[in-house]
Amino acid sequence: MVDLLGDYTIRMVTIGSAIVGGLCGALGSFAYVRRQSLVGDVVGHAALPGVALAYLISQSKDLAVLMLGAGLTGLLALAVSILAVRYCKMDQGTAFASVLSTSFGVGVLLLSLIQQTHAADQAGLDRFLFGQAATLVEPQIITMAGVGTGALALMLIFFRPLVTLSFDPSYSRSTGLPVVGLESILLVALVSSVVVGISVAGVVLVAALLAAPAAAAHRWCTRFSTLVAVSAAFGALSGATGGFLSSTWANVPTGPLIILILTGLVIVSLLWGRRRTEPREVPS
Amino acid sequence: MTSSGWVVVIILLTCVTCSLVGCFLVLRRSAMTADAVSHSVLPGIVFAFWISGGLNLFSAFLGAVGAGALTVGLTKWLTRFKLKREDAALGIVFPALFSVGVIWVSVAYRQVHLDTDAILLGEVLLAPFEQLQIGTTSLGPVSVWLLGPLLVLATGYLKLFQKELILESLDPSFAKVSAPAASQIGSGLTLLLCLAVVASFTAVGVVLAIALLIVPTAVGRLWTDSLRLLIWLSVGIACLAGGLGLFLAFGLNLSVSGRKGKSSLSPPMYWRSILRATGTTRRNAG
Repeated sequence: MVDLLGDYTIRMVTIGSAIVGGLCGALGSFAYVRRQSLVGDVVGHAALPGVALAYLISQSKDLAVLMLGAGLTGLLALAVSILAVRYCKMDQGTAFASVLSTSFGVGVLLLSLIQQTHAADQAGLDRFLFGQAATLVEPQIITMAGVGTGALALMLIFFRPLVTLSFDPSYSRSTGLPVVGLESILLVALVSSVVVGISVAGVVLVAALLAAPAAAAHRWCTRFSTLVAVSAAFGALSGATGGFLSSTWANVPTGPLIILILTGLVIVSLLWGRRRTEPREVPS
Repeated sequence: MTSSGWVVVIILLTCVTCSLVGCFLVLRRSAMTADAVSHSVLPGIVFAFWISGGLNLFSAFLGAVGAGALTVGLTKWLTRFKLKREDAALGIVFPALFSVGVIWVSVAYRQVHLDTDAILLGEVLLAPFEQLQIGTTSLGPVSVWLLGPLLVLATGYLKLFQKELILESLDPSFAKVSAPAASQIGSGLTLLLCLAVVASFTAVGVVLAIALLIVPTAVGRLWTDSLRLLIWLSVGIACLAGGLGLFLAFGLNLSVSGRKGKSSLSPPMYWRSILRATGTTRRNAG
């Protein structure tokens, strides 16, 4: 085990996946209590046109540049769907599904454009479809850790007001909290964690990185701050295990393995968790 | 008929079927179920491949429908008894199934060419070449034989059970009291959804099938409050988007499925309708 961790590739994949899992677990608990667990799905799909655009404009496959593009379109898509819910009285699921499918359409279109004009250059962009942790190198891990630290710092600095906002929006509004500003901060943090997650899990599976750890953690604790910590721990644990196992077994892709381990955690928690029934809901 | 003629037929059949089913899905507020089903068909297709020992459209179809039904069933069970949160349940179930599919493909079928791209993204230009053959005579593309009967089935089902479906979407508890079969009829709708998603993967790929299912109704809903009008509107919008997308894609030589997803967004109508809806909301509030 110690010997194996000495191997550069295995170490990088394990560390990278643990960072991603922990980050998505922590911020996923906010999405969970706000009943927006599928935010990850929307941002994930909407990241595809961003990645393609960033590549078309900059002509480089630097992870930081591609992640910036992904983050910008992800944020835009999320903002559009939230505005559609608020101002067009659209159902949240309908808005999410419309936005994610149209932006994914734009993404596929741009990818086929890249394939035609820059033949064979699409290879590096494919990693965003299914995720590819096996090719992680140190500079990429540093980029991911940087973005992750930023998102976590935002969450910790504004922890109290963010919790108030998530559990009781009308109370927050009545006490004069800057609701729009806080909501934007939370969205930026969520989008950054999803974008970091995409580089390991891919645009489709990142949804579970956000949804599963919090759902499992909710069976073991009642306080929200504990939920965030436990959920981050679950995420990091399954990230590290999945990353480690997939780089030692041949041919097993990292992202799907992490998701299966997380699913196992959810099943165990649902069956043997301390709280078997859902507590009374805070009316929203 | 020429192969580009068949392409037009396949696209239009897909558009009409998807938008019809999508109308009732949006009404039930389960648009994201379409997203989940469209992703989790992958393990079903791999399973069919494993059982039948080769990729033929019919067994893939059965496997995919099974996987879709499994997704909906698991989500419903989790939502009702365990998690109480539909968004989290969906967000766990479909990635788990998708992961099983991806791992299965990459471990067991590394040498076999099971083209995941073609399933996820679709390539309609190839669809006319897979012909249904009986003896030596070919009877037209297989996907037309899948989509045509499905359209008839969907229209019949929705027309027949329209009342129950509407009742169950708007007032589930009243539906439970007054029409005991309502929830079974609702499950029938999700089965139709699975069929529609799988049947349209030859035309537009499973991911962009969501666009055809949900976007036409979402746009149409901004214009009208009447269900009858909404159905016609969303079928019209879907066909318009499909035709326009095909026209532009042939003209510009781009990925057909990509252009189709986009063209539902690109006409200024989408934005006009949002403006109009906010205008109406404001009028009502004032």
